[in-house]
Amino acid sequence: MNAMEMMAIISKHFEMKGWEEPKVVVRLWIIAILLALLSLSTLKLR
Amino acid sequence: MLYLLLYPLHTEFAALNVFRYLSFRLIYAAITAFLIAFVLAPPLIRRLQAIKMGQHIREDGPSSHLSKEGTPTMGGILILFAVVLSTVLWADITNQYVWLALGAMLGYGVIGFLDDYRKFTGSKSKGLTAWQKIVAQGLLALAIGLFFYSLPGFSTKLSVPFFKNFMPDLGLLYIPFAVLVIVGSSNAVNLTDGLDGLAVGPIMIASLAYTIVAYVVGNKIVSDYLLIPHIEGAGELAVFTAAIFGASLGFLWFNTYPASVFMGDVGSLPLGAALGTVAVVSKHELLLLLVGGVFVIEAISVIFQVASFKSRGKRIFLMAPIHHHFEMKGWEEPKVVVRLWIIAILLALLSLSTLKLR
Repeated sequence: MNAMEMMAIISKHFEMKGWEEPKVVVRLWIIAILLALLSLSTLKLR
Repeated sequence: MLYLLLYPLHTEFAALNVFRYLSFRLIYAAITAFLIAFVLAPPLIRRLQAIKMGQHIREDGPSSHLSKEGTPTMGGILILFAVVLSTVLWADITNQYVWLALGAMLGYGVIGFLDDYRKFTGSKSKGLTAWQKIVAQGLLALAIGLFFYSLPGFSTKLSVPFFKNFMPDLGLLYIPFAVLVIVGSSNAVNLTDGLDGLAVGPIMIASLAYTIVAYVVGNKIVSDYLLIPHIEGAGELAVFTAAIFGASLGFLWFNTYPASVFMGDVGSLPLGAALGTVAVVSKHELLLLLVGGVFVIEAISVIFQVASFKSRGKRIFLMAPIHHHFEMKGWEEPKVVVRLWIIAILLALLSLSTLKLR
């Protein structure tokens, strides 16, 4: 993977910023959970 | 509070009708609590670092943990703040169960705070004496139990997972039973809080499971359909547990491996007690053994280790609580943590299936 691709995949971007791998992973899980919560709330908000 | 303020205006603004719906309010309670914890964590961590509120790491623990020395602790204060604020905003604040749950949580928060503070000033990894801690917890749980018992319409019957007709009536014994549930849950969560994100993950999962339980128990139609005793008003507790879920999620952002902050006893004791209280109010006390199975496993590993060492001079685990055993076996810390989360998720699924299997 060249430097360009390293930056294009956002998970790699965070690792290059100095976040440790498990931290990047769990933080992206947290974002996924929040988005799922927001999605479920749209069932009521319409 | 928003419910009381905004819902009455729905006659003028039809959109405000959504504040009536528990499902809407509990989702936004979770999101609000997340945002509070997420936004306030960085300044709090800086503040804790500035006053050198660092964790002392047990010297007899795994050597890989010595690098955690000095990581700020008492982050649990933030979780409590986010839960209280979000619950007061989104729940029906005329509901007595909401205040009871908040009161129980904050009471245990004070015990946890004193314990953490003593560790900090005493400069050792030891806080309150074991006796002081257990007596304070017991008295507080007794007050909660007595309050419940005095509420009109509160049932002392016990619902047993998998059985719908077997509901033993504990009578007065319900009070010591409630004390056992709350104190046990509080201490089990405290024991589990030994790896980065290990306590907060199963707390999130258990609070989500109890959000569903409280919703079901508080809803006349759903509880009748599932043949579960209906408890008027218990549904509002779903807002409280959803807020715990959200606040924990926000805290996890900073607590996940490698952690920049620990929750401390000021987090683990009240969160455990809050789950115990919700289990008691929603009348699904025994289910907590399954929902919080990870906490139970951790507590049992300590009890067995101590009992075995005292009686036959041999250890069962390489180190107790059990998460250290897995570490000593060579699993990396994040692997131990995520695997215990996986177990917690499975146990929560099993627990939810008992709502139907009875």
